[in-house]
Amino acid sequence: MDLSTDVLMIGVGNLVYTLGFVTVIFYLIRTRHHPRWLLYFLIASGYAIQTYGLYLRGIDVQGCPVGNTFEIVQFVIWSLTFCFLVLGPAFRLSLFGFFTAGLAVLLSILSFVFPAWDTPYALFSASGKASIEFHAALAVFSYGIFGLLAVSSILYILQNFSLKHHRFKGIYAFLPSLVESETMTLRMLIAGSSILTLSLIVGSIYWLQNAADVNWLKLVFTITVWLAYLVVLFLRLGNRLYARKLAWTCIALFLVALVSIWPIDASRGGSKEITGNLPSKSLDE
Amino acid sequence: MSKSKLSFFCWGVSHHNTPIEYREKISPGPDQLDQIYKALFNLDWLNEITILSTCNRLEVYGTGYETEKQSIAKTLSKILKVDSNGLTEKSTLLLEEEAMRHLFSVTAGLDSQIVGEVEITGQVKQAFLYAAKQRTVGKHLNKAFQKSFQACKWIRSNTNIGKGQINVATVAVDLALKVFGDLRESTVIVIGAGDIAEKTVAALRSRGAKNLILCNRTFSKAQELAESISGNAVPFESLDCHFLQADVVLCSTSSPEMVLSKNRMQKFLKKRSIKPICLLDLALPRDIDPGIDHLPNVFLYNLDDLAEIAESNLTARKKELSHCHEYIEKKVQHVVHGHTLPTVENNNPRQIKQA
Repeated sequence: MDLSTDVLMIGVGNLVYTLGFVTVIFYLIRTRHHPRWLLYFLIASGYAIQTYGLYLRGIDVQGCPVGNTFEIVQFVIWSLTFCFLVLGPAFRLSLFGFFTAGLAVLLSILSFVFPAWDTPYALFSASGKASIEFHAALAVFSYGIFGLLAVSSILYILQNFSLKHHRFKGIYAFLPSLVESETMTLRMLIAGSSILTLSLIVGSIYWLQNAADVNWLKLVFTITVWLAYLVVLFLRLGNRLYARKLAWTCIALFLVALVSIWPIDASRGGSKEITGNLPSKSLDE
Repeated sequence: MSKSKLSFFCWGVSHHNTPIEYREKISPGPDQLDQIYKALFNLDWLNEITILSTCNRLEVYGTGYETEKQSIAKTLSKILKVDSNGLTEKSTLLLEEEAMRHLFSVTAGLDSQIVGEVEITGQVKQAFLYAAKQRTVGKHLNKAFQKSFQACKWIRSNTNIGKGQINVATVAVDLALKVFGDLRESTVIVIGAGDIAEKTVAALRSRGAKNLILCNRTFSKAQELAESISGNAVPFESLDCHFLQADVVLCSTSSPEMVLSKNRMQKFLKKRSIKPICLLDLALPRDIDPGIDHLPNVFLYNLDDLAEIAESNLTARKKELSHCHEYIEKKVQHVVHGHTLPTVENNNPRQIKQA
């Protein structure tokens, strides 16, 4: 398998997201409204191409491709768009697709701007591989949901600003209502926190059995992010954190979660030297 | 004009050149409308007609072999019992392209007093159907009206001419929708009464608001209004209790003092759920402390705010006018010069009438 094929397919998928984002901007400027089906179709097409790219990468790494920063960010984009494709039509939040595509574009630009993020890494040993990969996939998937949570929070903040400052023209005219955005925010918070919790439960089974292999820095960051989201969730359910403060907190937390990917990945620097090549061999081999 | 050439025309009196008092006088009742149709269709030179009568205009669209505004005005003035010369003076006659352009503009709401209003499209459709029922519509008028409906549909779908509410009551409802998305589950409290408040309540109701609570210092007044809008009247003293469930509060009292102070609102916010609240202050002097707007999750709008938004929406609509007229011009040229609406040379002026 030519390595460039998977990156190419992932890149094309990302380009299709960009096309969707740019198309909506064009429509909004030109006609001040956009066909939702077109954006949905473009995101779905981008998703299909990106999925194929990730599948090729998965074959290369003989597992779920969440081994380096590039893969993690791409997996976050993948789960973000997956959640949008599943939940978008149900919620029918205006501009939700546009901002989801925007976030996907931003993350994809970041993942391609830093070539160092896509460095070879050591593959996991066969024992416990399935459980740790399942843990990693769930964790990264929850990041995708937290991405959507950030999107709904952005929509909330923009609408709140619009209503408070009487700005109803341009993009403000298309925003969903405050209550709709906040409902979406709460549901995403519950879904993301639940999946991250499940991920940690699956991960802890592996960590308990292989305490010596535990990457403590990664563990600390992961648990910190999990706890932070859990605290936010309970504060929201207890009506202690809501409205604009909740929205800002969710955006800030997502940024922290994204930034935490770097130290988690950097802490595995030693392993990279072991393989010293593209992710094609397991440490056990 | 050649007597053998059939031409499309529009004769009319509208808000552009007559005051409302005069338009009231010439607004035909149902019987008069039938009489007008009959009388005009009996004119030898007239081939097809459709009469559009709204509060802003009385217009006759038709095709004929000669077009004299005097003869139409004369016929109408007899039935409407107004001075014939006066009607002739106030009326305008548009021919061919100009008439077509006007029909397209009227149908799309571009010529309305409230630019971009949608009611006019329905009124034009009704007028056309009524004329068709009277058998005064032939292939030329049919084509002209169908093309105008198509152009209107395009303009509505592709421009912002109908976007943004432009009266205070509907702007208020739009703002409530921006906060809640759906008003079916929202509790609306109306404090006081007044014309704008009544209109706003009606607009809220039309957008799904079911739970309406009416409150007035004079309980009987609240009961009266509650009956007319199917709401619940509550004593003024129990307002605090109901306030905790409120999503939208509409204040329109004549009280010289503020009904809702910032301190009182802060107390309510501590007790009520975390839902946002939309406050609409439609009173003069104002009923709600403007400082409340700085509180989080509270959205306050007074009459000035609503009027400003309405004005800004109207300005935006007017900006769209040139875009709409450009499209209409293209369509008119297509219809007139693209032989979509042929001007036929016909020696038989009673073609339709004899059919």
